[in-house]
Amino acid sequence: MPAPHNITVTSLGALTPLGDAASTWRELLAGRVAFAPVGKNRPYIAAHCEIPRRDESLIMRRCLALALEATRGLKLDQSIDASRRALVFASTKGEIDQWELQRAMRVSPMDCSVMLSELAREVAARVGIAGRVLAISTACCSGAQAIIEAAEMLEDGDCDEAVVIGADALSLFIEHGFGALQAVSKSGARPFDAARDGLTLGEAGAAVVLSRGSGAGGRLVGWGGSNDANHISGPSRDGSGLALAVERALSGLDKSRVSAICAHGTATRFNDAMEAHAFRNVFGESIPPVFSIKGNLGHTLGAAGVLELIVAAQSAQQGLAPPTAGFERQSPDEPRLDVVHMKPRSLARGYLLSTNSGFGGMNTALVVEAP
Amino acid sequence: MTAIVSYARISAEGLEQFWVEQDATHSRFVRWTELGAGLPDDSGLPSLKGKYFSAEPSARFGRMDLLCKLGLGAAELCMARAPILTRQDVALVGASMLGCLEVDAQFHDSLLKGGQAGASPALFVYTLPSMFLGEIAIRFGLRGRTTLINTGRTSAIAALASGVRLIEAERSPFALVIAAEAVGAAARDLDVVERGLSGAAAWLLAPGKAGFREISSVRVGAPEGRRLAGGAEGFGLTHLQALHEALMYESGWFYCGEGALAISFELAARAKA
Repeated sequence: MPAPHNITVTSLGALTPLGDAASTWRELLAGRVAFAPVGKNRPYIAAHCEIPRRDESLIMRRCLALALEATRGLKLDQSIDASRRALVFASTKGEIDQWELQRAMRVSPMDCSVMLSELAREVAARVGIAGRVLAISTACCSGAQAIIEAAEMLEDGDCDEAVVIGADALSLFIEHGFGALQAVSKSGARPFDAARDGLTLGEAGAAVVLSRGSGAGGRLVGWGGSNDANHISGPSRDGSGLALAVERALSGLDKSRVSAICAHGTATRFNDAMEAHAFRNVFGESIPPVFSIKGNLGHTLGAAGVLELIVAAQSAQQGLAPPTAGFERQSPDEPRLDVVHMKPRSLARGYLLSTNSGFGGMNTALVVEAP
Repeated sequence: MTAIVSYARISAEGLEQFWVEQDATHSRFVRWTELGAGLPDDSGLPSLKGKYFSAEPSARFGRMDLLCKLGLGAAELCMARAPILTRQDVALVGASMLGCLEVDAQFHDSLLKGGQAGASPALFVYTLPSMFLGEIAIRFGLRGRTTLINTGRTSAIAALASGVRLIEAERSPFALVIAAEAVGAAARDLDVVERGLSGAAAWLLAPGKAGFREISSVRVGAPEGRRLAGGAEGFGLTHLQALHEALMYESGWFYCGEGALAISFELAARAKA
């Protein structure tokens, strides 16, 4: 049996369409939905962030601004040598909106922050991180995979503190891309609902500080990843890939102690059905209550995994699962889930499982518990 | 100890493979001209065909973007010389600094020309830098954990070090590490010093000493031993040629990157013929 992990979430922060981390948690419990029309002559709705104008140079750099906003108020251990503090930065498309604009205006040469490594270094410099800097981009698993990389860097002694930031901003590029895939809902994401018709895009910045050992924050006690090895843009129908990631994350843990699942829950027909199958594969008929925050905040892409770990940690700490906005009833064709909806649900003390899946068959699972 | 079970490289010169069979190291180098490939295009490579990498290529190969073709091609060459593995247990670690920039440009061009109606779903799928790992997973049925690392010009070495760590810490019994860069017109528009070359490399890692070469240890944040020089490949493959030469002829500690960003590794002394 593998040695138990002992990584602590010592601090957290976010900027989401529902405000900062504390406000987002409150609004999720209240069932607030942040969707609004994207703009004139555009058929979608999305979840935009209100980014405070603290720095004029960031007005056009939404992804960077979201990343930096997420770090405001983060508590770093000042006793640690700055060169032993690492940054793991997660994003799917980074500053694609800036690059898009420069290309459309035929600006040359183009700003190189379109490369995630350069954006990550700029974030590190602005936040004051002098240690290792790593950018992770594994589709919609980017945020969760960044958490895994950071936790393992800590376990391997490569750093003494790790800041993980996930950020993605809405852009025409992303909006039209998902639109072309016919994956976007016209009316708003309804995770796990029988009438769901696609995802709603969102944007966010989310950040956590991880360290070895115990502390006041949530404890990251398990993680795992897998690949479906099945289809380049669609999830495996039987959920076996995600189930493998969850089994790996729960290795050495008592799975009957999972009190709830913060699911990827994008509200696409295939993703949510796949997750239902995966959870049945792992938990049989005793699937813990499931919730998704994408009916409130939309799919925040590279930020999603970090944001959902934050929500899972808050959920474990307060013994409450937020309701899944947009859910009314599940399709009878899918394995039965106990989807938390209408109002928050009190949870028994235990583990919170957070799952993500992405294009390229990627799956991740994180397990967090209250300290 | 982590063994490099097999190693493959795709460069402007051609294709190379290195592996161990019956306790002896073997290698194969094929020039593009021997494969009947055409002249290099804007990417610096001939137009890539699946048959260059496998006798039974993926039916999907022709539809892929260059980054996927390079990543999958390197993986094909590496896996062709690998022993039978429990494929569920092969982790994938990718590296790319430019990622999918070239296909981003193609997709963006389609938006500039046709607006929302011009957006191609087939192109959009490849506008994620990790998609070549998905193609490799599908091709070989690999179900291990999957990650794509970008540390800038040290990306290839960082990914190799990350793969070694997966083996050392027993997080995965096997790791396939693939570094790839597709360099075209979009990369040349960037405000960077190098021109860069398209290419890829792959290393299959397993625990033990039965490899083409073995890596004894990796360290991050502290330069140790000899510095790997930067080469013409540029971007995430900047140190690839120096690494290649170390793998061919040398042993001891090597590093790239400076200060806290340094990645060091120790190549065990060569034992095989």
